[in-house]
Amino acid sequence: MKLESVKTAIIAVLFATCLIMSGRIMMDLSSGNENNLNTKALSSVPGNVDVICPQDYVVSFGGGLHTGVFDEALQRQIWVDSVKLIRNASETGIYEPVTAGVWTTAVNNRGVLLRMPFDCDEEMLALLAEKELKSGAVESFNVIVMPTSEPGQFYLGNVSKGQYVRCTFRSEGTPLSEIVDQVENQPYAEFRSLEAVYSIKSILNPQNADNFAENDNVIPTLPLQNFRKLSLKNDAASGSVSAEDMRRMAANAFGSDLSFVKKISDVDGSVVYVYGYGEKSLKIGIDGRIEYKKSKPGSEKNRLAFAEALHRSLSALVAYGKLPENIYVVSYRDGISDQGVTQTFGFAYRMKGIPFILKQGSLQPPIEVTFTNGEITNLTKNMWHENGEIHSIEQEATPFVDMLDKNFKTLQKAGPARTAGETDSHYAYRLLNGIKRIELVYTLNTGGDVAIGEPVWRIDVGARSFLLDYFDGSMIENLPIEGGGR
Amino acid sequence: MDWSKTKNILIIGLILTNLVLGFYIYKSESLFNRNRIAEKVSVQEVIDILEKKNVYINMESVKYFSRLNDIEATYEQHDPEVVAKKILGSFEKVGNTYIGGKYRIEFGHDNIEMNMVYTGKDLVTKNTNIEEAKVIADNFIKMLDYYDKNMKLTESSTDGKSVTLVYQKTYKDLFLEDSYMKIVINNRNVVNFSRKWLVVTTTYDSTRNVVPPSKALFTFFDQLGYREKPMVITSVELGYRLGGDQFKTDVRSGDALPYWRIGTKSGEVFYIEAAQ
Repeated sequence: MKLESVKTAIIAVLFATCLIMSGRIMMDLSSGNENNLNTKALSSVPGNVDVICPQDYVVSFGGGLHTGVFDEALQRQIWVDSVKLIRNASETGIYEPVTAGVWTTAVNNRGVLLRMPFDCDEEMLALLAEKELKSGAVESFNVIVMPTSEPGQFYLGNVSKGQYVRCTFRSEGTPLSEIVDQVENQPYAEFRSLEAVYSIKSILNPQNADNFAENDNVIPTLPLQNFRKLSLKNDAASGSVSAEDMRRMAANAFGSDLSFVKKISDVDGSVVYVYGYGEKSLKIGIDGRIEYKKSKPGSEKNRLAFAEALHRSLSALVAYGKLPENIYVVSYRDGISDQGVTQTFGFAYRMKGIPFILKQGSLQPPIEVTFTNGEITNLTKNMWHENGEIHSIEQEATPFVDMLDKNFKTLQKAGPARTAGETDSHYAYRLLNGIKRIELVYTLNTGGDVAIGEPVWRIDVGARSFLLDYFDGSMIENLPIEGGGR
Repeated sequence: MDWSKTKNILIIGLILTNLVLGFYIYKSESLFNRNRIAEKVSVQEVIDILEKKNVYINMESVKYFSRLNDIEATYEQHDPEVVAKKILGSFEKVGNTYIGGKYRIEFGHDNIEMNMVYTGKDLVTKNTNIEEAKVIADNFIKMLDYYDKNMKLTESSTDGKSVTLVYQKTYKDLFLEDSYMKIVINNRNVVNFSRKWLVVTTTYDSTRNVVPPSKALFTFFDQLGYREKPMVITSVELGYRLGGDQFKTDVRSGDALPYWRIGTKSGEVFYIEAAQ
């Protein structure tokens, strides 16, 4: 009987020890682990598919006539319907390479053209299709063409890499037909391809690859009237974040135990939380920029799958406040640095239907998350939102063609090298043909008393992005393209 | 039911569980808390190890507290108008610069830093006595109401023409880094005065264990590569520092953390994290 009592006591002691050690391990896991970043508001984390979407939406009416779509509800509808078609195709689709000529015909036919923000591959197509694809034909694409005249087909293309793929699948129709009809039946701004406006092929020889490359950029033939300067406000600007919210952010970043977290105030009013001796830092900037940094990531080289890294990025971002509904992935870089494998997601959001980006030495996404060896080592979040339009009398937009004429000499600086004996006219056409990207964006200007969102045309030539004033067509600045661009 | 047998199985199960948990804790501690290894190392052993790295220790004693309070400190903001009036009397203001007579005073970083410079050409080459300079400096600091009982003269040197004195703010006789008054005296005049001064605003009840100096030296050894030229450590001091984040914050105020400051004969300074 006495032995039984001893056994009971031993069980009690062992059980208590077990509980204490489990508690200790739980504490270790919960403090300073970035997984804590997603403990709050998990329900509001956007799905991966919700954030993979086009940068530009173009509706084509056939015969080379197009228009840009800037209505966000319509953009969403176009994308939802397009993703449905991609999913349909995942069952019966056959992917096959096509020629540049077939691609150009598809671009000019009636349908929808979706310009992706970065070069996508089969892994991302599979993410949209929600099904594993092993076509082997899709290497890289940044434009999707959904023709409505050929309902059982869509095209994926990357002009700069000369890769074009057609997907043929079983389909009885396309919901995009109705959208194209709807857009056509309302007043719209006419867009034409660079080729249609300048007749580039008549000057350059399409057979000569050195001179000519396909170009699917479209431009408005008349000034757009939709855009105004915007007054902007930052969600986390000076004084708008309570001390309690700051502590909550710090707890999200470093774990619930803040005893080894110190708080520092910057002369400019920014607040910085530092974990330990600087292994991790969180800054809530006076300008509303939230930034998290972690030094010394794990040394074991580890690359996360795109989908997993994307989900972890979004979960981490939600921990620092609500995300905009129209957030999307605007860039993705995957590489090797001194510290190991790095994966960087850039996120942007839209204002008045066009992307909002920052100018910081180069064009930067307002939100960015970097993984090093599978751990988040850098996170920045700039949450600006519209606080009304700014009206002034001189707000007439310059016609796009006039703007190009006005800035042609500056664009030449980043253009291709002149060949011996080349005429000015021939060189000008070659430069036009080499424009990689034309898009309308809002950029942030904090130079004055108030933050302003300025509509600007972004024109990518060579390795530079030129920013041109939407209203007077003047050159604002030119910046290097991060990662070489599209 | 055989309760006795069940208890035996339960005991074995719990022992195994505890072993697994214990191993996990041991492994994580040995991985993430390398300093524990250093606890077993004596000062003499560390000195021997450092000498193998061409590092020598030449100092008398080290002041050590096993626990330190958490503190919060704030940089004092100068009142430029008041300071300018006291030093210059009448003055002209250009931006953040105050000019009067043969002096110019500049204020920066939201008036946290001040720097007074003598612009006259009549500096002499005559050597000023350090002890005499200390008295002049003391009077100058008192005239500006900047005398602080928690300060320490950390540097006094002369180049044969001028005497340079550096005072540092202290807290419980421990250094508060990046908080100083630097005075240069020539021909019995203060020719340069710069100041950036911390005030301890809060002493928290919470305390932190401080790594012993032997362990700090061991960590230093761990971080230091082999030195071609011999290095002589002349001081190992305990104190506090602000900042240390990855954003290079221009600090106005914040929580300070304890550090060991290791000084060398050649003037190099190294900081070793002191809280454990």
